[in-house]
Parts: sequence; C-alpha cells; structure tokens
Amino acid sequence: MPESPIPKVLSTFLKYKVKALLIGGQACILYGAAEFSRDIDLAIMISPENLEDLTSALKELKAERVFYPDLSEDALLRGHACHFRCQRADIKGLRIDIIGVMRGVDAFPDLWSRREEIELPGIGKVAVIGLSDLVKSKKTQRDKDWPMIRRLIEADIHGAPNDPSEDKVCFWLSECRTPELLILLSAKYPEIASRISENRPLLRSAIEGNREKLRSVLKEEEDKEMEADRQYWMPLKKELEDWRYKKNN
Amino acid sequence: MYIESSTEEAEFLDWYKMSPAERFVESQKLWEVFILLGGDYAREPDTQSPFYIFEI
Repeated sequence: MPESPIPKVLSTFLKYKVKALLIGGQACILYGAAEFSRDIDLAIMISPENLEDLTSALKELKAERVFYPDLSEDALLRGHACHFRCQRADIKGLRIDIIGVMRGVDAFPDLWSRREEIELPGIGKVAVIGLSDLVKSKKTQRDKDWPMIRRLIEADIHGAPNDPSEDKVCFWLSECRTPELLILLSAKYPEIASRISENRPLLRSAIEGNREKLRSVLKEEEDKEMEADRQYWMPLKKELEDWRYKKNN
Repeated sequence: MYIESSTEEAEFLDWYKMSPAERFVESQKLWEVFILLGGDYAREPDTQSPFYIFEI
C-alpha cells in the first residue's frame, strides 16, 4: 500500500531538532481548511545552528535544491524561499519549501511564541504556525490562497464554544471572508463590529446587512492584498533572474 | 460555535468537527488513493507562484 511521504519528512525534521513551523497547505489541513496538500512548507528560525540542523535533515531526505537561491542566512533574511525536491526513493519528487521571512507576518521569534504544538500519531509533537499568523501568510497573489483563508476562519468559528472570547470575535471580524458569516457576526456582536470597522471599513456593509456590497468590497480588499504581494516579490524575482542569468552566462 | 444559517456544505462541517490530529490522519489516507490512481509525489505546477517562471 503506498504511503504518504509527509510523516517521514516531519519525523526527520524532529529528529534533527530543526526549529521550524509548519505553514502552508499542511498547516491548513490541521486547522480544517484543506483536506490534501502535495508539498511541505516550513518557516524556519534563521541562525547558523538551525541551518546546520536543517541541512542535516535535508541531507537525510536526499533533498536537492530545485532552483535558486542556495540555502543561506542571507537569502532567507532577504525574504527568499529555498526550494528542495526529495530524491530518496521512498519520497522521490516531494517538494519542501523553506522560508524565513514572510510578507505581512511577524518575525520568526514572534511566530514561534504563538505556535501550536500538535501531537501527530506516529510522528510526535509538531510545531505549527498559529492560526492568525497562518491567515496573514495566506494573503498572497495566488487565487487559491483566498478560499483557504475563508475556510480557516469558518473552521475556527465552527470549532469555537458558544461564548467565544472578545479577542476571538475581534479576530473573526478582522479576517472573515464569508459575507453571510460577517453579517451574522456583526448582528451578534454589534459593538465589537462597530469598533473593528474603523480598521476594516468593509464591516459597515456587514453591519448594514448589505450582502452584495459586502461581496464587492471583500473582492476589493483581496485585490489590494494580491497587488501588494506582487509588488513585494518584484525585487526578489529580479534577484532570482539575475542569479539565473549569471549561471547561464 | 453554532451558526444556524451557515453556507458550508455538510462534508465541510464533518471536517471542521475533527481534531487537528484526526484531520492529519484522514489526509494521509488520501495519499494512498492518490498514488493508487496514478498520482506521484511531485506537486502540480502553480502558475501563480512567484517562483513558477524559475521552475519551467
């Protein structure tokens, strides 16, 4: 029976004590927003010791660099991701992406302080990026990330007790992308919705119960973030192009 | 939290009710089906990724 390669990779990272947070699709699975993901994305602590541990783990997985940049403190600190493809027979082809800095997300030590540690059967305790940080990290230029944010919040709401904390309600009103839920939440918590609307003006449409308008302003909010992400990556892509050019000439 | 008029489909609600570890276990089972149906461990092309141009 074929097996998932994911536990093998996570176990190897634990074995070498790599200070890393599970992010991306695998984190979305744990938080209820996705059912399946074919790769592993990790945010790591950028330090010489941790890069040494990471290199040992990647070596055991026979993970080879896919394209630029090389794994280095400098590249990670500048915001680049380092990409690997496993060559070991039992996990051949699996992609592992490593990043140290993410747009719109706090620095790693803060992410680490807000991590969730989840005991996964047969693997052990895996450090996972906190939900609010995962939501921020998903605000990218890729269309496919936005339904993930929507489902992350929906899953969180459905898993919450009937008397959620004020912090939790603030989080939902700040990040929810489902018009119907925003209208319901605004009706149930009008004072908090009014307060949050100062930072997130689209909530005014939710307070008014105007679903069509809300859909439209949610799309505007999404477009703005997607463009900001494209701008963020522009100089980094230029660097990648320069590296590639130097290699080929 | 109970939301009476939510838009989610029933299958999503079942998924939401699981613990993170249960979701992980179920997700790993999908790998078995995926491989049996001819899938492999290489991920699909992501044309909107900032890195796509460097992968082709």
